[in-house]
Amino acid sequence: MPRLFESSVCIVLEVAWHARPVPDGPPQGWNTMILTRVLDIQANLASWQEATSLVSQRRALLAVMTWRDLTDRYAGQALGAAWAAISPLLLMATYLLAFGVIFRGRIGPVDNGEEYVAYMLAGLVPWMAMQDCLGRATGAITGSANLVKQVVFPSELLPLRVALSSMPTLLIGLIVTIPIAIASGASHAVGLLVLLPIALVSFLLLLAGLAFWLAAIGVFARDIKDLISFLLGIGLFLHPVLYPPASVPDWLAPWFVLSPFSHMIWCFRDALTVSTPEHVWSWLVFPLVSVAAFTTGWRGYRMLKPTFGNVL
Amino acid sequence: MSEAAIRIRNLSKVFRVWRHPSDMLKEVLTGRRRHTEFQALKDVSLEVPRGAILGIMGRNGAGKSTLLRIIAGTLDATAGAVAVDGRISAILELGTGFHQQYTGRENIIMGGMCLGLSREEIRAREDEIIDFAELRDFIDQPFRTYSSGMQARLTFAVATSVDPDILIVDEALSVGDARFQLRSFDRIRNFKRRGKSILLVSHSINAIASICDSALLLEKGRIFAEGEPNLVGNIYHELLFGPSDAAEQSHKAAHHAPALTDAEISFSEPVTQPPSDANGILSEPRNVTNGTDAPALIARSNSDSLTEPNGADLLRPVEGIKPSLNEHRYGDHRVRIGSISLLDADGRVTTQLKSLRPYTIVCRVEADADVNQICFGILIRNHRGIQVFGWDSRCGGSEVTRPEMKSPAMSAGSVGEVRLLFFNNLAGGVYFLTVALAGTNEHKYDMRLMRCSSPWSRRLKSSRRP
Repeated sequence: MPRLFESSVCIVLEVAWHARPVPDGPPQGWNTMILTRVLDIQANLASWQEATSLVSQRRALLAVMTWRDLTDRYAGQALGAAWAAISPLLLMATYLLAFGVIFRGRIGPVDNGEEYVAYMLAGLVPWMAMQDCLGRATGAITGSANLVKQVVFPSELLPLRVALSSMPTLLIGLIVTIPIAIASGASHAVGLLVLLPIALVSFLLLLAGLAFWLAAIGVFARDIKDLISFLLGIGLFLHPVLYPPASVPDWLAPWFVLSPFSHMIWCFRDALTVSTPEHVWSWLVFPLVSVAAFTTGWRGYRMLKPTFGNVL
Repeated sequence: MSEAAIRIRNLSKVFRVWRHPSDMLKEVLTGRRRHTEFQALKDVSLEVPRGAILGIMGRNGAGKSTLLRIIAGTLDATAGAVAVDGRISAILELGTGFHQQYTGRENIIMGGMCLGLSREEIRAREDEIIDFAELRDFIDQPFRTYSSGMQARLTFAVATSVDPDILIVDEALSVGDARFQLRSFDRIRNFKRRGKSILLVSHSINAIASICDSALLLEKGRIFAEGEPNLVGNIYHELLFGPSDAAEQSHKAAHHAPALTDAEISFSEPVTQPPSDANGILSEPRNVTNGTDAPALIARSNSDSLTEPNGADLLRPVEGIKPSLNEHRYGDHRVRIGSISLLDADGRVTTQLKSLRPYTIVCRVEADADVNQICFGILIRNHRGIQVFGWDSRCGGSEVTRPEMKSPAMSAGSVGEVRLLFFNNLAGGVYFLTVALAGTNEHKYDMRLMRCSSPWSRRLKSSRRP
């Protein structure tokens, strides 16, 4: 833990160094300085422009890298890329066994089990994809150190690649979840055709934004990898993913609102398993948080990118 | 479009180094400075025009790679401005960005795409890349199975195939074999012809001298010297092998009073005895007592008698040359090369050499201190600075010198003479001669490097026999 603390200090130092006031600008405190930078509309818009133009220019490279990322992970294994499908399926089956069969969760008194399965999967699938993405995002730069150090190429593609290569996990999960949701009679056409795409786009933006941050921080503090996998592990139980809402005590329920990931899960659940959205506020919070995460992630990454060479 | 492809002004780079991560923490908490700063680059300003090849030399740790990485944009600068105009392709290390597990062909595709080519463009150039790298038989093998030379070939082939405006090559060519080096130099010259700019880091003074338009010598993060590659190469050589500090002093001297440093040069009275041994070294240094009976050094005359020497010259002093601007000299001067002259087979002083004839280099050696080891060597370089021929008494081989002659000792005040017979196999052209006296490899007594375009080297002409 002391090492972890040191590393976080290291990051703060590095960020503070780059967020230091411009000499000729008006004197400002650190807080206002950072705040004004984050809220700088022009810079935010510019970052979106940069990001979209980069992706459209280098989409072929991004596609190849993403594909490589997927195949490399399972290179040399007998089943190869099939593991990309097998491991989330096995994981989902395990959670179903534990929470659907052994603990016998029920959504309501009339639920025969199917509804709960759909409910649980709708939260579990995005969580698994996120776990997959963020777990690898911390090593996105350090794992490709020689590429970042020596090749003149936009390294912003590396975190993006990690976010994209976790999409198959999400898609495989959805392929399983959607039929179950439809069979349980809980899903709705509007949810599947309108809300789900919005949730997916927001989800991808959120992952990419977080991947930018984690990749950049991971360069300076390698221990972030362990911290993140720990947080993701316990986060699964600290968010309303697996347990039915009925089993949550009343005093605890409001706390879920504080985590953006709860909103993410509620949005997916609204899109997949209910006929009318139950969490209207989440549909505002989740896309906004995603856009903010992507914008700050992109800008933070660009800010720290030139310093990577000092550490790698 | 500006004239310069790269313009760097007052560039500095400081690495902050904490000895231990906890030191960083303590620094934050107590506010006391606990890191040491390492100044990798200090106030570097340079400009690379379009269509120019700039060679960068310097000892290990001089800041060469840091400079290149900042130009390439993979490292940030602490202070100063770097303006780069055009697409950069950089070979900063062997196998740059290549994946060890992928085959050569996959790496061509990935590498090309990383450098900004589209799939179609790569496919169009793939054959050319493979042919240039001469890896047709191995292209579908994993990259990790390649030898370092093969890796360098593929790296270079891919990096140059993207047709960058600025090419940065960091010592990547040195692992390739001679044939590949030749071909890569050809390619670099081709780039230059098309108006591209090239930055080349090399430890090979020869390589820099042969293809660069100008050169830069970095030392401790500063620009130590810049200018004509030959000249900078000489200074680099001095930096490497000269006595420490002396390089710095002579550097300053060269900057402040360049015309006065080599006033002592003169030609000795030629020795009239004909060469007796056609194999190499002719006479071992004779110890001469330090007194009036020692062969007097002939005072140099200032008459610009650049006429061809004839028999009469044997009896009178050969003209003094004014080598100050053209000679690069260094060493601790415990033993000095007093004079250098070149004799033909008849013992006449000459500087016009005829092909396929023997000549003798006669050097007067004066010791100011007792030395227990002396090695004598010569080096002939062509007008581009490429080494053409070199020989020294240590590597001379058994048939040339007797073992006890290899490192003769000299006492203070003694004067000796070294006679070296060599057979002129040089092609027609202008050459220049370096004569060196050394103790060990690291310890140079006296080095005299005479640049071409000097009166001396103009006279060292080799012409075809009519």
